[in-house]
Amino acid sequence: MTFTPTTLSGTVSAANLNSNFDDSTSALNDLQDGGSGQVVHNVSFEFTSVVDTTKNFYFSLADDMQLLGIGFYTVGGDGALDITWTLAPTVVTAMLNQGTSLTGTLLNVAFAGASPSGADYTSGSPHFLRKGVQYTFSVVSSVSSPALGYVGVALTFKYKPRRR
Amino acid sequence: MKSYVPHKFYTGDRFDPKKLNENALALYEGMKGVLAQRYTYFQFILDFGAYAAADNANEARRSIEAPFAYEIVDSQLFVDDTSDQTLTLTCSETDWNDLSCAVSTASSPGYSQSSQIQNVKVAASTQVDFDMAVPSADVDRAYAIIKCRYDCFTGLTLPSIPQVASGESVSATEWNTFFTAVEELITDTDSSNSNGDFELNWPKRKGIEVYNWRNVTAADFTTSLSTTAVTYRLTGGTRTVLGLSTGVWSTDVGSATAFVGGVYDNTVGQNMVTVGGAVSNSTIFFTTTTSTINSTTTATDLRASIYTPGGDPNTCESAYIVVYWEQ
Repeated sequence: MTFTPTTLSGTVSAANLNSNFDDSTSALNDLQDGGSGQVVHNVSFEFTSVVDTTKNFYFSLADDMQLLGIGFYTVGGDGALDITWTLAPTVVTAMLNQGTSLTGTLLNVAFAGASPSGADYTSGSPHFLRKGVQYTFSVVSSVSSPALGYVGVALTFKYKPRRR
Repeated sequence: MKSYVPHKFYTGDRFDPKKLNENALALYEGMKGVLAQRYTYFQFILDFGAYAAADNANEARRSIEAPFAYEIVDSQLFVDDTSDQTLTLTCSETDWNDLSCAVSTASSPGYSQSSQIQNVKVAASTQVDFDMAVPSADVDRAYAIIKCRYDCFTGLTLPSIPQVASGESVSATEWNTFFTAVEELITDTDSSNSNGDFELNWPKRKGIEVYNWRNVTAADFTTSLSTTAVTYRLTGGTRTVLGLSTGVWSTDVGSATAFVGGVYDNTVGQNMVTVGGAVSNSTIFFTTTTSTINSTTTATDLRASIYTPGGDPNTCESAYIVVYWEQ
């Protein structure tokens, strides 16, 4: 979008003045709409040697964000595992809007040798995580054999910039 | 978003300065409204994993070199407790406030954490080194969350607005200056916003993501980005990778060994971008590329990985990839 002002001179023309205000205001209104666009952003971490003991990861966010999904990347021996995860505020405080609490299970995540295998959870409805709230992400696999080399986790967020 | 419809002026009407002033004020509010959405917030995680008193400090260095300027606004340090001690994360930026965490074995729920507000402005293409001090006793895990924001309009200042009092004549020159300043803000004239303009459209939003690995075994490395086991899966979104940094610390090199990090598009089966180099004993390998990757992608299966292209896999104590994106 562009704005090219009409030069005013001498006795200022009403048409020229209107043109300048109309065109510049229109461009700014469009810019404000465009600025509210959303971006997608990953937060990732790794769990080493995830077996049948729950591993926790604690985190907080720089701003309010909507959870879009969770991607897992796992390495283990030959076989298939069930992975159970939970995402919730570390300390739940009544009457505060702390955002979402979720849990899920990914069944039969297959492994072949040391090749990476992936599995995704996609959020079916909007779940928001709040700035200033600490969350715990926990993951545990169903059995200890074959042991997982590691589980890489990427939480995918949709972020909508706010007016500040 | 509240849209403003300017007052109209008509030839032959008695001139009303109030209308002119209100139009100018509304224009100013419109510019402020665009500016109000200038920040994109994001965070990246520096994961130092299990960190032993016998480890080398190089294992816990993470270097970032973004092709754009950003600000660090907050930071957090988490430590899994194993003994009473204090851990400190330092940074090469002079405005950084050291982030220390007093670890206590008696803490609940089983970890210690601390926060530190930051006000660090990092210039584009500046290497920033984060260093986690070697612990005095082994810790099960330590990691830091660095919270940042990217400013779409760095350096932008708004023009002053002319106002007309009743009885004054309207100065064409003064209003031309004002409209020219507004034009400069709205309309891109130099293809960058370094001089403070809104560009033709909204500037792209940018951010940083970091993917960490600790104590990678030789068996996890392959000679191809597409098959390596040392992989993260990057889900969702249409984004452009602007550049990549990767760092490796390894004592198991014998002779110099090459490591390469990259982003692989598993949907179409091709490397988006790779960057790498050789590691020699007791040196930190860090390299970065800032060239724009012309691969805006909607792929749902992007992977961030490291591998050893020379077919000579070695263990490494620490590796990471930094992805710089825009959207």
